[in-house]
Amino acid sequence: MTTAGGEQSGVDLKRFNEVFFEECAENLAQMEQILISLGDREPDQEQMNAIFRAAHSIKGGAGIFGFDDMTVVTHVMESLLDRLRNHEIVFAPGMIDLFLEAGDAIAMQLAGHRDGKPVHQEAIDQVRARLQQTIDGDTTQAPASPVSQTQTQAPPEGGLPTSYRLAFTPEPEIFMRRVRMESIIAELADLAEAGTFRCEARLAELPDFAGFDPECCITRWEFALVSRATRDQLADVFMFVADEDQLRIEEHPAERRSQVQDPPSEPALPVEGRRAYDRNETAPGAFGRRGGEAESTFRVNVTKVDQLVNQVGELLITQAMLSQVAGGLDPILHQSLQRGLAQLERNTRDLQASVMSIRLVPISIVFNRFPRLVREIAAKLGKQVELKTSGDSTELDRGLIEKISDPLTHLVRNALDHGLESPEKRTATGKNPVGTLQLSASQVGGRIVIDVIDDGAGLPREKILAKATENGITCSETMSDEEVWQLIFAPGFSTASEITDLSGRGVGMDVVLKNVQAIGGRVQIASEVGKGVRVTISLPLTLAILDGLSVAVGGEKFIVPLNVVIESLQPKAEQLKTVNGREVVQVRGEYLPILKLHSIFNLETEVTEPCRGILVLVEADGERGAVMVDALLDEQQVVVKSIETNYRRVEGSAGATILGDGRVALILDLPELFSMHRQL
Amino acid sequence: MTKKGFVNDVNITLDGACTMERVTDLHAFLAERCAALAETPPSAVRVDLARVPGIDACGCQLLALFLEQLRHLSIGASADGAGTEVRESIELLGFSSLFAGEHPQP
Repeated sequence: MTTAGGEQSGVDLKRFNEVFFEECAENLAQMEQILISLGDREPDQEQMNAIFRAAHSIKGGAGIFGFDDMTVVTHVMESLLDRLRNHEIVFAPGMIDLFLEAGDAIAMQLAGHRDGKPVHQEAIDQVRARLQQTIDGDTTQAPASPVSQTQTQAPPEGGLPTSYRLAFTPEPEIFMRRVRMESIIAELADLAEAGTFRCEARLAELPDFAGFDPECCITRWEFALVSRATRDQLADVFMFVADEDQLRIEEHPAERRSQVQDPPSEPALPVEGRRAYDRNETAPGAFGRRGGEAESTFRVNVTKVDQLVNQVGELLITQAMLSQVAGGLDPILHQSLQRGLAQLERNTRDLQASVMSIRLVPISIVFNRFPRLVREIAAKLGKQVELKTSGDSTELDRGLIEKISDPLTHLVRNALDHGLESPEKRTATGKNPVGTLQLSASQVGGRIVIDVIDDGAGLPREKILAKATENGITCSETMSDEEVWQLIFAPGFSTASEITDLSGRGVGMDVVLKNVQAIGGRVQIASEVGKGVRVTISLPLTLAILDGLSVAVGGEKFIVPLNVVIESLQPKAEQLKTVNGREVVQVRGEYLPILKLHSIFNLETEVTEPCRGILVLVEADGERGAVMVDALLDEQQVVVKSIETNYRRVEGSAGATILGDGRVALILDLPELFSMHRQL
Repeated sequence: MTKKGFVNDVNITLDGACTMERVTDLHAFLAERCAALAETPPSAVRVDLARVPGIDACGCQLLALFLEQLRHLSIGASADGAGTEVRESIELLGFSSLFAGEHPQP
C-alpha cells in the first residue's frame, strides 16, 4: 500500500519526512561544526555528548520514519562515541576525520532520500567498517568494560539511575504518518537499565467496531523505566512525534528503585515533551534551537514565504496604481484621500520591508561550510591555514545564499591553492608559517559586501600580463594594477604552472564573475605583493526587488537594472560612427555598440536615430554597450515577476514588473541583449 | 491480508501480517466476525496468531479493539499462539495484557 516514503498514502507524508530531513541536516551540520572546531583535540564531555546526541537523534528519526539504511552508520558511530565517552577507547586525532566521513556518508543517504541523489553504498559500507574496526581494534586494548552491553547502549550521563513514568497520547493520525511506534518504543527501551522497562498500551475509548477507522490511533501508551538518561533525553525519543501536550514525563530522582511498578510517592509536575530541552540551550539535543529560538521561532515552508512576498509585491503595485490615479486629482478637493494614500504608501513600504526581512538568512549558513573545506584542502596541500570569519550574522536573501556558495568556494580554493604559501616559504620570507584566510561579510548601504582575504604572496602582476599576452588578451605594461587584476576574469585564464584537482584549470574566475554578476553582484580585487589578496563581492540585498531605471521606447516601458547602468547621454553626431556596418558611439575614446531596443523588440517609435534619443551606457559581464531609448522616465524599485511563469519567455528580458499604471514592463537582461545584438 | 480464514467463529485464525498496510482488510474481516458473534455470542473466542508473520502498533490496536469489543459483549476473548517475533513485537508495543484479557497494570 505504501512505502516508508509513503508516496501513495492519503496523508502528506512528504511533509512529515521533510521535518525529519531538516532536523537531520541540522544535526549533521551541528556535528560537523563541533568536529571541525576541535582541530585534532579530543572533545570535552559536553562536545562529546553533543556529537553523540546528534548521531542518536539521526538514528532515532531515521528508524521512526522508516529510513532504516540511515541507522546503520549512525548506530556504529554512536557505539564508538559511547565508548569514547566512557573512556573505554582511547581518543586518536584520526577519529575526527572518521566521524566527518561518517557524517558525509549519512549526508549522502539523506540526499538520496530527500533529493533522489545516487547513494554509493560501497562508500557507506567502508565508513561503517572503519568505524567498526576502530571499535573492535581498540576494544582489545582498552580496559575491560565495567558495563554490560545493555548498559553500553544507553547514553549514561554519569548520574544516578532515575525512575521515570511516561504517558504518551499520540495524535490520531500517527499511523497514517507511517510512524513506527515499535522503533520509538525500542529506542526508549534502549535507554532503560536492564530489566526495568515496562510498556502498556491502553485503548482510550471503545468505539463501535464496524464504524471504526482502523488507521486512526486511539491507543495511549504508558511506560515505566529506570534510566541514567536525563528527562530531556527521554523526551528526545519522541521528538518527531509528540507535541508538548502529548507527552508527560514524571521523574523520581530518588535512588534506583528495585521495582519500577511501585507507585510514585509524590508525582513530579508534568514536564514538557519534545521541546523540554529547549529550556537549556546548551544541553545536548538543543542543536538547531539554540539561543532560545524555540520560544520565538517556528519553521515556515519557503513556498509560503515566497507567496507572501509575491502578495506584498502585488499590494505595492496596487498602491502605486492608486497613487498614480490620485496624482491626477485636485489636491484641495481630495485632501483626505491624498493623506490616506500617503499613509497607505508608508504602511505598504513598511510591510514590504518586514516581509522581505523574512527571506533574509544569515551568511553563516555558507561560512559554516568552509572550516572543513579549509582543513581538508590545507592538509592536502601541506599548508597551515587559520580560517577567520566575521560578520557571520550578516543577513541576505535566501535566493542569494544558494547562488553565492559556489563562487565563494572557488575563491577559497584559489586562495588556499595559489594565494597562501607553504610554511617553508612563509618562514623564509619572515612570515608566520600559519597563513590566514579571512571571510567577512557586512552590509554597506543597500548591498552586502563579502571579502575573501588571504595573507599570501599576492597576485603576480608580471606573470598575469605575460599570460594575457600569450592568450591573445589585449594588455599593456602601462595598465594600472586594478586593470591587470581584472585580466584574471578572462575565460580560460590561469597562471597556475600546474593543474591541480583544487584549482588552476583556468575555468574558475570567469565563472565566479559570471555567477556573481548573474545575481546583480560585482567583484573587485585588491592585491599587494607579499601581503596578500582581497577579493570583494558586492551583492544586492534581495533578488525579489530590483533598483531599476524605467525608460520609454515607443509606447512601451522597460526597466534597466540600475547596477548595470554607467551613465546616460544624448550623443552628438560626431560621436556616432559605423564600424563593420554596426552603429557605435564613441565615449572617451572607447567605441560602444548601440543597442536599439525598438529594433530588438520590433517596436514602432518615432525615435530611430541615436542623436534624437538617449543612450544609456551599460556594462554587464565585462561587456559595455549603449542602449538607445526614447526617454528616461524614473528611477524606481520594482517587484520582479517571472514572465515565464505568467506568460512565456521573452528573449532579452530577465523578468517583468507591473508599473503603477498597471502596465507590464520588461526588465532588460543586458548580457542576452548584447548577444542578440551581435546576431542582428 | 493476503488471505484470511477462520476455523469457526470461536477460533479465528488470522493469516497474513497485521500491519498498517493491511489494516483495512483486517478490519473488514474482523467486523464481519464481530457482527456474527454479536448475534449468537459464545462464551469465549480465541484469535489464533500462529500464521501472522508480522504485527505493528496499528495491527495490535485493531486486534485489541476487536477483543475488547467481544469482551463488551460478555465474550471471553484472547489472542495467542504467535511466533517468537510477533510475540516480541506485541510485548514491546505493550499489548500483551490487552491480548490476554488482563487488566493492564503499568
